[in-house]
Amino acid sequence: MRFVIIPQHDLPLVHLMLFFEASPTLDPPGREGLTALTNRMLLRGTNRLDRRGIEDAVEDLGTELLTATQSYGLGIGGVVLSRHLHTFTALLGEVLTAPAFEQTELEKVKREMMADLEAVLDEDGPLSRIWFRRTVFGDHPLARGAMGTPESLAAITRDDVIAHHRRLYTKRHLIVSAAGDVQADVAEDLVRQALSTLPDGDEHELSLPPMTPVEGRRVTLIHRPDRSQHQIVLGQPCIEAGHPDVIPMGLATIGFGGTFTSRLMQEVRVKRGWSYGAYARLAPERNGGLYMMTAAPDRSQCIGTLALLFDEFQNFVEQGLEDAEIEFAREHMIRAHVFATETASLRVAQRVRALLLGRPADFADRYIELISAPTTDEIRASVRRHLDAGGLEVVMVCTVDDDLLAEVSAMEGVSEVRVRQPRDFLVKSTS
Amino acid sequence: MTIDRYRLHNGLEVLHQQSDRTALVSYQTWYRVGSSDEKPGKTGIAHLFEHLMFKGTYTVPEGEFDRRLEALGGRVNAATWLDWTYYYEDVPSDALAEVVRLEADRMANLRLEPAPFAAEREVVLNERRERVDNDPHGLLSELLWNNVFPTHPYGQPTIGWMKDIEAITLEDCLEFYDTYYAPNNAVVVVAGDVDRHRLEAMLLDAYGGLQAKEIPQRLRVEVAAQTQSRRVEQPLPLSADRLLMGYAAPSAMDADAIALEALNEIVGEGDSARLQRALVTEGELASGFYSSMPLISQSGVFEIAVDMRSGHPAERAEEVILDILASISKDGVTDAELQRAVNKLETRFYRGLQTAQQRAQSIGYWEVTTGDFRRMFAFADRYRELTVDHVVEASRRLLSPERRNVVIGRAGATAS
Repeated sequence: MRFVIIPQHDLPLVHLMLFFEASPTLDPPGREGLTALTNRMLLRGTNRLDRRGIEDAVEDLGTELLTATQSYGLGIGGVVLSRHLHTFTALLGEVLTAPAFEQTELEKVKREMMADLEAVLDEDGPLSRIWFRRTVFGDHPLARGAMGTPESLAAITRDDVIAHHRRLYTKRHLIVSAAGDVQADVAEDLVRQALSTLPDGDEHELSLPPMTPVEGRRVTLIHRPDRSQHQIVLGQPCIEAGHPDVIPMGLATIGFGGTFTSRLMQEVRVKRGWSYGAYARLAPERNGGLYMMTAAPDRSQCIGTLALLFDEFQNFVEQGLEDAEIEFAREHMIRAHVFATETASLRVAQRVRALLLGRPADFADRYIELISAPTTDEIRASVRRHLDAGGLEVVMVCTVDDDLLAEVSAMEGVSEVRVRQPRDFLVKSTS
Repeated sequence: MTIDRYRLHNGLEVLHQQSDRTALVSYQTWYRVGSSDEKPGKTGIAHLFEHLMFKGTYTVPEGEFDRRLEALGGRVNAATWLDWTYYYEDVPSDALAEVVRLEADRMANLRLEPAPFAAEREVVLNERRERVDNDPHGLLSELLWNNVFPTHPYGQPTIGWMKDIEAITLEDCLEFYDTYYAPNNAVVVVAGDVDRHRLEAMLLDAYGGLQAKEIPQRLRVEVAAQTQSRRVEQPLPLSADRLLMGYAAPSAMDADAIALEALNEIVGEGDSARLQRALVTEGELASGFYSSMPLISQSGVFEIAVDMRSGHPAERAEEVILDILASISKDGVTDAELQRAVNKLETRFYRGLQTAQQRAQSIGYWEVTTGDFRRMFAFADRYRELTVDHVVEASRRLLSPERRNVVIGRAGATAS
């Protein structure tokens, strides 16, 4: 059990979140979705209280118990009035150490998750991002979403959930984060007491096979009828959060497409008005990561926007940003860091995130020093080292017709164009 | 929490909440103009104009505003709604003087040129496509508000109708600027690490030379009483139906608004909420839903939006909602439910005060919405005075079936 606690007493609130080092990549083959399902099942009743009983007991305190399943960890907790912290912590302990995993609730949660998967079909933005993850990672375990597929969810049994719970929710993998109106020793004592029966646990195997680079510009068109605007996501696999180059890569990305004055925003939005937003993002995970760009142009401007994104990316990788652009991004990041440290809960979140992502323990404390260190040449070199100007996976949620197909196919460097229906991602293979 | 309030000689109102906990400041400028002030055929101009405020002045070239503030580490943005337009800059406190200079400059010296104007109008058209035309919820929400307020300016979309945005001219925008952007039509809200003496000196230096203007009296329109429910159905390329229901609700200044806020907690917030159980967890009719009761100046909307699960028609959720509201009218709510709602509202209130940005936003919102930011604190105090009878009576009177507006997004439409 590790504790990250920072008191702050100006408001009568405590942020208490428990994080377990785990990942949906731990889902057994054919049981994809098990990690997220198990996490949700924690809120569905204990040996003492049924689901309604837990919901009422928590919300009587004026708060909610929330769970989250991320690629790098599982979270459960909430924000509570400090006068209710004792009761809240005891309830948190109860749901973690004595869940009932009742069969009827299990079936309900499975149907709930299937409905959530279906709901994504109607939202172009989330749909484009899910499809992008599937296509860019291909057969790699990172292609799996946390939610599984209808088929894999249906296969999960109560015994699977019980065993997975025993494996995931252990003292060894627990990071306790608390911030706000509580003394550190009080918070620590409360949590230790509430979780005293949690098992110690065994080491997880979280390492993953290497990712496969993208060859050429591969385009997947996800057909939705009657779209007047197209959602574009493009990018490639990239470095993990603990990689020494994550700082220079992050700096370059802010300069390229991370602020309003960055290149992408200026070229796509300010100069041409082609999209409300145009961004680049480095999304490093514990194992592996993504480099991605996004834009949402009008249908008539989508080929022009895609061509512009291709050109800008190629130029970014091969020529690199100007020194002035890099120094601008660096100054912005250094000075904006104050916002990430404004409250105790933000400072705690930074530290916990670093731990979960496998970053050095002093990453948050040394952030300014780390950002200040790389030279502009080193930054450009890291971009060339980790990004391939010619290899881009492109997903576009759009209304597909013959003209669009022909235009995309004729674009420079495009090696493959596929058309898919939105719901194809609900089956395991998308190739 | 102490908040200083004062006014400069030209009418600029200042609200200042000092906190030296972290070396940063949130600086917000709230103009008392929003989409409800727009003329027919000119919907969207308040929002488009908000974009144009970043296009440069006679002394600060286009792009410089963002560039200078981002170089200083700033987070900069703006928003427009029914009764206000606001601009915010969150900056390290040593950058405050630059923010004050830039904001004062663009209050009076904005330079609008044809080419940047045309590009920005295109950006806004794309914003509308993204947030409304290609977003099922955005589209249905627009329909709902138009139905709740068929004769009130709140029924016009803040982003504007597509044809209106396309028709807005540079001259329209210049006239809009000349009419509404003036120190006596603005509230500057500052939260964070700056003391009163220093702030006041900066404000006087930057804004002292600006002149007050004659500001048109704001239009206040009565919301027509609704005696019959209204329904709209919109075929959409969805995999499952969507339902939106809305009721015209009291203004933020009305005591009934608090009762409906508590009712919203009881029916719509959290896993224990009645609708969550009936629609999602136990009823298994919907994949999700939300309800809200935004506090607005002239009239609010009690709104419920439901994403149905495949195979369940939206009408089924409508029946459930009507049943729950009917049972509240008939049997009331329990003391435990009300106490839970009050506790949640208290938590929510404190959560909205954690960062300088949140504090400035709350203060500014309450000031321009209700005319007095102190209502924010009075409102929080009055949660505890709420009674079951008040909540039930407000629900019975304001959320009766004939006052409902229903918008259904019907699944299954295919390409035309």
